[in-house]
Amino acid sequence: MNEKIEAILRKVSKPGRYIGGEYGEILKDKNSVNCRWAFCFPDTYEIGMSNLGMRILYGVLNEQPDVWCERCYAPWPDMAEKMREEQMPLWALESGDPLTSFDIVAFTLQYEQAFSNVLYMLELAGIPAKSCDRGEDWPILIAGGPATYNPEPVADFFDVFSIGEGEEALPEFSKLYIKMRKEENFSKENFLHEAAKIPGFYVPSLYTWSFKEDGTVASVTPKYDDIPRKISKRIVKDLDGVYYPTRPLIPYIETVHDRIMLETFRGCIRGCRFCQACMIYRPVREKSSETLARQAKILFENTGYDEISLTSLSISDYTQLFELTDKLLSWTEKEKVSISLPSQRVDAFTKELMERISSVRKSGLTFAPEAGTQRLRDAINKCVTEEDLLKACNVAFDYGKNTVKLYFMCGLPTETMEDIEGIAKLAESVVEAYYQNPNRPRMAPTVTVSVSCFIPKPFTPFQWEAQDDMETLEKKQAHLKSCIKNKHVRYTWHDARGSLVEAALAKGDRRLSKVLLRAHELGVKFDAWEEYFDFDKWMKAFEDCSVDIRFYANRVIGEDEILPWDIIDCGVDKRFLLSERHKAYRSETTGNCKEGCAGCGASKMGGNCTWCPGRPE
Amino acid sequence: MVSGKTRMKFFKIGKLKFISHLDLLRTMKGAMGRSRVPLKYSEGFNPHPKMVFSLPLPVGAESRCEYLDVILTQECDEEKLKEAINAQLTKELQITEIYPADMSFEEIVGAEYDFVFSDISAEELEKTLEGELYIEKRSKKGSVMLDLRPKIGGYAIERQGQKTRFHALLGADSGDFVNPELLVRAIEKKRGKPVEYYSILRLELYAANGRAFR
Repeated sequence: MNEKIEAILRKVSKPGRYIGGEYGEILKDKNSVNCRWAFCFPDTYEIGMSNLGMRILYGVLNEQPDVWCERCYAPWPDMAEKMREEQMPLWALESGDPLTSFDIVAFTLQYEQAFSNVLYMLELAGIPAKSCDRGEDWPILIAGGPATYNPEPVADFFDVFSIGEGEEALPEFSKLYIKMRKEENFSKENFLHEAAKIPGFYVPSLYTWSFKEDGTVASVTPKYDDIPRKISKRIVKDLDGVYYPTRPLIPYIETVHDRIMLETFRGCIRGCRFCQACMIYRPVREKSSETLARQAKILFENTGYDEISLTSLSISDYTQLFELTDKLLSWTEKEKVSISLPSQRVDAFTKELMERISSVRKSGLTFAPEAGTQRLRDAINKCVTEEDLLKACNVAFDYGKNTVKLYFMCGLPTETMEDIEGIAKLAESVVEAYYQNPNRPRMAPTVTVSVSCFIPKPFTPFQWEAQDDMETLEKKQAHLKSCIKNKHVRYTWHDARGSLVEAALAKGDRRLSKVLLRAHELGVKFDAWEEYFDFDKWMKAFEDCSVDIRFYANRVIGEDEILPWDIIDCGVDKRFLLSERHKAYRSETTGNCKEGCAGCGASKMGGNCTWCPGRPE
Repeated sequence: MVSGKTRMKFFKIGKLKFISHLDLLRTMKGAMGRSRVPLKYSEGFNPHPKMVFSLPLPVGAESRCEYLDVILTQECDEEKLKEAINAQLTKELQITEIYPADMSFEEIVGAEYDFVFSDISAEELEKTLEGELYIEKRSKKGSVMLDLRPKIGGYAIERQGQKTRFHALLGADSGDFVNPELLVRAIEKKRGKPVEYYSILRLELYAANGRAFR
């Protein structure tokens, strides 16, 4: 470790974030590989290291002997300041080499609030932000992850996007790079043109977007005939057969998830109309309980962690949940390993399940009814009743819990003040249920009501909807506050201002790239962190660029408009989304995949789908 | 063979100097878990292995003489145990010796360090060490001004290329522990400017009468 870095590390908070060298880190000889990736997570080390997707891709890329993938996380502002002072460009953890010396610099974009940190990291690395300013000598910049299903707001910065699941796509991309690099007259332009032909890759510079006078999209045209007009996301067809990291890196410093993460299935059968994850990860594909039980054991041996988290979007919908938990329980108790089940649905939270998970005894319970009245819950297709919620809470109370956290959203389409009042009423009935439960513990209950602001997201039935303006959201929040009178109910809410910026970035087009650049110049960074989110700077950036944030966030989009994300095919048909939107207005629900196929269209992607019609038996 | 109360001597060097005490504890726990060391666990609701470390090492200092006490519930071969645990650790954190814990951590009274300073000359350092060496020490109860000079035992100063090496024995009694980082702060304070670059390496621990701790 060189003295300059050491001197800096003595002066910053949590220096362990920047040293690398963890157990399980993958080191290779840089002279014996043909393609070097710097995989960047635009948030802190602690958050990035907890991201399963990045761990999978780090592992799968390094499986190839001629590829070396390293990691890089966003330095905290105190570190960034020292790096600027000492003129030390951002480096990757494994080799310590600056990002500029890599072939490919990749970013995983998990949420829109991380967009500004991409520019923050590129600046620290000394890499020009706009792809048009990067000639042949600069690395190729690629991005993927859920926030790139609408790649347009960050289109100016990346050479290429990988849409959908990356386990198979990224190695193909590496192979093409290695092959073309060996050829004479390698040019970035030729390479990107070829990359655009690999399924799932979108090269934004190869598409011309034109806009109408009213600001909506007029047309999008590929510059070549041999690249797709629409980019279909990639999926892994067989999750049992695909690579899964079983020798994970073990961080020295405490991260958000220091536990075994066992991914049980992808996609979601439910179809809540506000939920982007539900739509973009379809079709539903499960891993078998045999595969999972085997991987869990290996992961335990290789990590020594004392907790296994069964991850998914809705764990109770995993068809082999009891088989899997029984297989795990056959050894976990003896080894003092607990099993945790995040993402539980209210209507599936039973005594039977409670008995299988020890960890709930430790932590509080969280349920997400999302809306205060049955009418609105039906409209958003969150098919959960008040009865379901009280039943689930009672199971928890029976087991000695006295705290419950309830998640809601405000500003949902068709919402009225009556729905807002319903949130307070629902919380009160949970308190009442507590006092009526004869098995309750002898403590006063706390019901926390946590309310976030609805953000319409691409590829959801509500993608055409406007977000409530800030005044309306704040009025609703204040009204709810005045409705909550019960002393056992605690109320927390999200800042409407952050939600406004997120809404604009989520549904933006490529004209937002310049707003992002301006915001970066003004010093915007770490938007997901309350202490750094700076609304005034964002507003100034929009104003300086003469872009109206309300056009993107608060406008109802016409159903016949071309959407910035129409360039991507996420599997689910636009026609289906539209019909779901119309059903919402009639408070009509749609059954889940288990109850019958609703025809979302994702089955055309193929794969070992659990519920899709025509699936292989 | 070892069993029962067992001591592990290890080093923590290189970039691992930036790992905090809590992180070290978690790392050791993980490595022993993976290598299936038969550790005695605490009783109760949330059982965890019983592990006790010797003298705290500040973040930023390296050491060749850290000690960790555990309780083994089965007899183990020292060499095999060492090999198994080391395979689960990185090369900058390795166990060098395993043996039955005999001396108590409370017997430790002194620690030997090697400091290397980039921009203090031997003469300047010599001068700095003359007279008192006050520094503010903050604690939960408030802050006190503390003279570190009487807590420095024998020392040697020598030029090492462009740098200056300061080899010193510091008080390490539990009630009178001199944090080597604090000593650097005190030197910086007295000379009136920060040291550009320095390193701290702990070499050995001592019990009363100059007996080496083990």
